[in-house]
Amino acid sequence: MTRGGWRPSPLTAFVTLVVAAATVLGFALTNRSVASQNQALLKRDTTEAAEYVSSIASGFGSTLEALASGVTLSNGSPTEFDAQARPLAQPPVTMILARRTGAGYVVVAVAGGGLPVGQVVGPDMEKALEKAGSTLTPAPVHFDGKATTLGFALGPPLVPSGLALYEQLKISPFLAIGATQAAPFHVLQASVYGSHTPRSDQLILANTHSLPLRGTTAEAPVSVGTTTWWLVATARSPLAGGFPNAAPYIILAVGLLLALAIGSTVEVLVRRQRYATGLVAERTAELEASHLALMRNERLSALGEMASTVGHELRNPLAAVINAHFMLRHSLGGAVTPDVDRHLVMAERQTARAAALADNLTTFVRHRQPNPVPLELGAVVDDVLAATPPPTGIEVTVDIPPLVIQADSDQFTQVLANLIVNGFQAMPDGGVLRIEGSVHEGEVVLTIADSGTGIDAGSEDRVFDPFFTTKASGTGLGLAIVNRIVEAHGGEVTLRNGPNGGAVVTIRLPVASSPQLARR
Amino acid sequence: MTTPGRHVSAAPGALTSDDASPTPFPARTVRADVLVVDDEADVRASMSEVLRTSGFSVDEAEDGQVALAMLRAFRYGMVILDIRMPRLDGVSLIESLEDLPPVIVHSAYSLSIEERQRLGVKVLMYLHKPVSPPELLSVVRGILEGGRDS
Repeated sequence: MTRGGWRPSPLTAFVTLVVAAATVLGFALTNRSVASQNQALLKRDTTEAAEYVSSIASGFGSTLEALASGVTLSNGSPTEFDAQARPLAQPPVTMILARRTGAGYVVVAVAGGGLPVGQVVGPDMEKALEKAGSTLTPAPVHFDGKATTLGFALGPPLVPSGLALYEQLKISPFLAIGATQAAPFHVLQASVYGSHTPRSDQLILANTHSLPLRGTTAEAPVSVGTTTWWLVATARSPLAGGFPNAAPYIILAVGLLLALAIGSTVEVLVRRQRYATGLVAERTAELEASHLALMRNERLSALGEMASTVGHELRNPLAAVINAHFMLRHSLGGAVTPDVDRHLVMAERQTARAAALADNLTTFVRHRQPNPVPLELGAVVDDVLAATPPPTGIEVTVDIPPLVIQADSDQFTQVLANLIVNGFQAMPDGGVLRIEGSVHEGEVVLTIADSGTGIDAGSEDRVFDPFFTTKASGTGLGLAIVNRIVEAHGGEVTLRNGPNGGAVVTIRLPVASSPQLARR
Repeated sequence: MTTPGRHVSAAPGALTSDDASPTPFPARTVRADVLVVDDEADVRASMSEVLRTSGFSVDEAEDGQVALAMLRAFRYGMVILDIRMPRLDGVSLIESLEDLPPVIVHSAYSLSIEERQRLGVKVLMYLHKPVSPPELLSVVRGILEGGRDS
């Protein structure tokens, strides 16, 4: 039984695909759920971080408010401002007191350096001072690639009218890396911009150099006085944790492995079932064949027993009758009239026929194992033809190459004699009997073809059964004996109608029991 | 031992002597050319008649037991012996006697190779029933006349 090699059965393919599809679906659903959880956690942490930054920024407001009350008390005295602001103004912080003049805001006092007293302030600072009130007013942010400049202003009514306070910082945004390792920054890559969209010149703080941030980001507003900065963050690693994030892939891997395992199991079961079914069919066929063979053997055995009994029991009466014929002729002597002679001849002829039948029965029943000896096939044919010469009107052609076979001499002679006489009898009106021998695919093939009327369709397989005959005077044992002998030699004999009419008997003898080319 | 059959009442004296030891051959008288042993009366009778017609003297025995007694009592030129017979079969008969005239086995059955080997040279020839009278006569002549010549 040959199978489709590695090609899986449709059932296997179906089951595997269903399990794989379920796995992929499970993967997709889990993955989406984990992603949304990650997103929610990122949003939460980002908001928390923004609040933290916002609280730091409001610290500038408190500092300026403390200075403002001093300025009000001293009524804007530069000396007092100097004394109060100096301890607060450490680099990179500069504290400035400015007064509005016709030409704009002019620096009145400075702590921490950076701007000379009496100078008119720049446009960014000007903008903040103009708007400054009791609420912290940040100046526009400016990042030049190395440092970010920040400013916060406070104005009236916290200071006397016409005055304003300004705190300026010039910091590297990346200084924050060390300061932002605490929660929630330790799980985030975060950056704070002065603008809503992350513009590089608006960078205020960042705990990473990899800017702008890539991947899934979240943003949260950082409320600083009158303005709003924006914090943009991304997760350093999936926030939902290692296992939940690995879960979809675990599901995918386990599911696909499961699909393979289930597929293999189904395939094994399918193949096993297919094999079992095949085996059952095979065994059933074998059983049927052996049952048929058994029935045939039983039938032949019963026939053989009967044939044996009949064959032997005929012999004594025949012996007496033959002797009686002899005595009859002897007793009558010269008194045998033509009529009496005719009757006697008929009686003798039929007795001889009965004796031949008894011989055939005995031969058929006798189970003698062949005693193979080297036989020259052509010579055996010649011997048989010499013993049974063709009747008038029948021509015999023999075409046998030098061939030595291994066969029982008596038995094989009988085979040839039976077949040749059969051939003669099949051509009562004359004809040609062709006897040919050859070696074909390691077998010795002998064919005996007559030019008679052939055999009836459907009889081909029965002609070798004992007592099957189509001849009016046949015993039905000749071909049965041929078959038995050829089979005992490990060969095979068939009878078919030839292409030009007439019957063709073919004997094949296996190489083991025969052919060696004659060395002559 | 065995009581002689009624067919051999003609020579009671000879029968008693064989119980003691194998009877010396010359002690027995020649009864006939051929002893035909067959349980089939028609076969036995017709064959005997064929032989008698051709000038041979013939004795008949209906089974092995009778034949044994006759062979112990008398001398024959040859024996034509059936195999399957009641009381004592042909093979046992041959095995029971050391000193036998030429034996032709004439049977409807063929003996197995083992049986033939056991009987060995005690059997001169095996004939398969039915044998045509001319063939039978030629065999008998060959044995009896050949024997006389030598």
